[in-house]
Amino acid sequence: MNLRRRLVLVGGALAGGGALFGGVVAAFASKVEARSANALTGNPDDHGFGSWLRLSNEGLCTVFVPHIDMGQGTHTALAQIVADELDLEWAQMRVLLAPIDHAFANGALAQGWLAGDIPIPAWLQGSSGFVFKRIARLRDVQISGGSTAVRFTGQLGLRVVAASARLSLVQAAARLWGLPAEEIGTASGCVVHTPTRRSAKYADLAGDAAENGFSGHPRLKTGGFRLVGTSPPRLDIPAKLDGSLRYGTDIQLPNLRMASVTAAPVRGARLLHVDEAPALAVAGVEKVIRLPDAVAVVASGWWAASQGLGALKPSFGPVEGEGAVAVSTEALIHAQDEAMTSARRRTDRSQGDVDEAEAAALASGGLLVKAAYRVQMLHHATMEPMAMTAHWQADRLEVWAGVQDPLNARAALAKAAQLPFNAVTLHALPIGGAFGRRLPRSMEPALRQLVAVARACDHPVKLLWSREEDFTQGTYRPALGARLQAVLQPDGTPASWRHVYVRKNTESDAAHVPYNIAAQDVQWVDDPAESWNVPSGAWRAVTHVQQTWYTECFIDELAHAARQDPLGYRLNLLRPKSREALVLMKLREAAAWGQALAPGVGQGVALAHGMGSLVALCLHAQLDGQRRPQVTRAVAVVDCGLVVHPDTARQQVEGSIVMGLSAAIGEQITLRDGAVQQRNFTDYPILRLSDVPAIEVHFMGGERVLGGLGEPALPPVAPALANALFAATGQRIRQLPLSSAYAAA
Amino acid sequence: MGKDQTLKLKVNGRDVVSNSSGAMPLLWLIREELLLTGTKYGCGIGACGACTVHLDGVAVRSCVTPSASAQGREVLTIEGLRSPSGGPHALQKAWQTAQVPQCGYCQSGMLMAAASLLAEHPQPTDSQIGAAITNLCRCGTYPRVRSAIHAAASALKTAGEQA
Repeated sequence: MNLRRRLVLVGGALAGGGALFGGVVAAFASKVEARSANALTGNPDDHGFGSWLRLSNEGLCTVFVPHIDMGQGTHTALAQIVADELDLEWAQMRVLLAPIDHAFANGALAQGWLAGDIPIPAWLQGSSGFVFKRIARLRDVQISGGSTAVRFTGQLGLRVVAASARLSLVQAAARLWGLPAEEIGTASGCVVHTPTRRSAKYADLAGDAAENGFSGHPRLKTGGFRLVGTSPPRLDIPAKLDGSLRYGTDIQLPNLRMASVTAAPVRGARLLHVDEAPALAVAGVEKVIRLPDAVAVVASGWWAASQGLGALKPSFGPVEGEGAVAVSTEALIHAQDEAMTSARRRTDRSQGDVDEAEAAALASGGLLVKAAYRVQMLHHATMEPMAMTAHWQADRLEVWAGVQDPLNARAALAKAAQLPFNAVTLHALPIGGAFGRRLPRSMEPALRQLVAVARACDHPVKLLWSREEDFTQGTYRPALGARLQAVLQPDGTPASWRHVYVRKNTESDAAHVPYNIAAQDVQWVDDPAESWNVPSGAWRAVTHVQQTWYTECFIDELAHAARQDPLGYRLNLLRPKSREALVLMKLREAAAWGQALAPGVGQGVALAHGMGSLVALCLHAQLDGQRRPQVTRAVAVVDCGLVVHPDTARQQVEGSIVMGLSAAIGEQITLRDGAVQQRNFTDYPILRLSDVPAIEVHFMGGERVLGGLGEPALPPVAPALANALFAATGQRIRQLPLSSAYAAA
Repeated sequence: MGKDQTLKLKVNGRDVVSNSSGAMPLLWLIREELLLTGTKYGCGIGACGACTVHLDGVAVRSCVTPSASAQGREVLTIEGLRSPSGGPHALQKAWQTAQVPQCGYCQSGMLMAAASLLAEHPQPTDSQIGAAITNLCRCGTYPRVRSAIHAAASALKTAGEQA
């Protein structure tokens, strides 16, 4: 059974067996943790249910969400799930970020992976003392990543807690009224017994209910949802329209100082020497801080700090350590190409006898098709550069920062400061974009730097990276490649499929194609650059981005080699009525696939799976006068199962498509002698409004909880665009970004 | 203007006096002296538009605008954006209706750029919008920005108001 199928089973099991998960979730909200949660969330008059819900005497329900809302609307969607399961009105709902404490660790998220027997993804691994090696530790996360908030926290966690709370309120009413619980219902924040016309507000029963019972096995609702499936206005938006939302970069404190920093351009190099005088001569500059691999300037304001920093000429030493290489992009690509043909290849997945299938097909007049693809290094380029504030006082550290996993960040800060966990306070602030940049492993160096700067300051200090620092000190999607080969039978059907790809220490099911090809051999080879100080990290949709680029371009090439329609060719290789086939058929209809297009315009399709969801995308594209790709239409069909908040869901798909187009068309990070060459948006062009077409999004719908939405619409973008441009120009491009490839072609 | 001369300007209708260097970009005066943090730092070179404010009613990128150039002039930031009647600006209403923002970091600049556009072109075409809104958004809100600007323009036309 492959991983994709297991993901489906997670959803399937939930639909029929909520109680199974109820026990698990109830355990995550143990009495000890509930007490701790109560202490942390304050009002002693409120009544806590587990650690995640509180009912106040005023009839309000507060949901403590362990995810940072970076604009993906999870807080709103999770409140909808709770309101429906607990029969509350939307006006009664409040959402707060959960305190950064183990009592609020997001166990259900980890449980989502465990229930499906799915390996914890590598992007979650390898962080200070919170390594995901043991199940017992899986609870120590409060992460926003992997498109998990709604499907795991919401459906496996909060929904069960809300149902439990509802059941305990009903039981409390039954005790109070001396009536059978089965006759008692709930509506609009009240418990109701219709035959006797009795009714009581939740608030009046909450004390007894919270005290006397918290069932781990509530019956989940199977229908009658009033809020799930609708799109109430997102709770986070008003503060984003008047400038009042305070991001990490906006925090104000008494006596706050500002710091700007520049780190060694080559990862692993040390600071050798810096003459501090030119910085100290700048008005407002107070201090120059030497760090092992960087120099920071502290001033009364950030402009003075950056002027001071700009006046310095720090010298950094050569990269030291075994295997350290100041690599350039060309050398990296060369090494990967060599590795892919070496004996270091390992089998990812194999079925049938590929050698035999190839030989048989070739003997009967089959056609051999080969192609090699590459993806470029990518930067997250979040609009908010890294910005963190810290105040070191004696044996305490207080930090204000936007991170994707606050609980893990708090632990990393404690480790860097060599302080106990409880001596570190972290205020998690809204983030101006993350896309993986602020996951634990990627954040750790920045947090260490912050701690070192704060330790050297007598005042609270805000460390704001310049955009140049943000570009050159990133944790990039690595440059990678793959080689594919297939033999087509005389009727055009692939008899065999070979796929060798460069792996960046990541387990994933992304390389698996959904197409029915009997003989398949998928192999990987470790990235030879793994030990070369080339920085890398998780980038939105992670391995799915590159794997979908390889496989969906190649299947398109096979369709053309077979002289068949690319969409029809894919359909012929899918089981009729499979999720994949249904999504593609819906796309064929929604995009009017095959219609006549304007001269010079081509249509391209790609199908992607990831995070439990399926996305089929059709793009119309052409090359403009400067041979720059231009997209004129985008239609997406998404099967993520139950859609909690359709408008936010649509928005995530729109955003993923825009980001995917941006990356495919123009983005590229390159290395020269180990240093990143791009320093600002002028040499890393991200897409603008005028480049973006209207985007149509269709959902397959359904009641089942299947997949996430923060990422899965991104992977099909690059292949759909390359396939459309091939249809438009007859020129097949196999490397990214497309604009420079077409300009050179 | 010399380096240490006093800078006098109006920000969101308030008189402001500053003794900071006139070479310091307006962005840092707004953010760190006036503590109006709705205006964001994004790139420092005028490339992304997150720092967009109005100088005498026209959108400028405050990260590359020396504060000295605001001497005696009126600055409007997102905190001061209003309709003539004092309520939310038509663009802010349209943004709410279209649920435009995702992470929201670029949105102050987007709104200020759009307000300047509507002041010049009350009924902008798609290509006028494309030419005026060169602000960068990493979350990909562009399609909604475009439709919200059209919606605000229609609402203003119906109400007979000027932006």
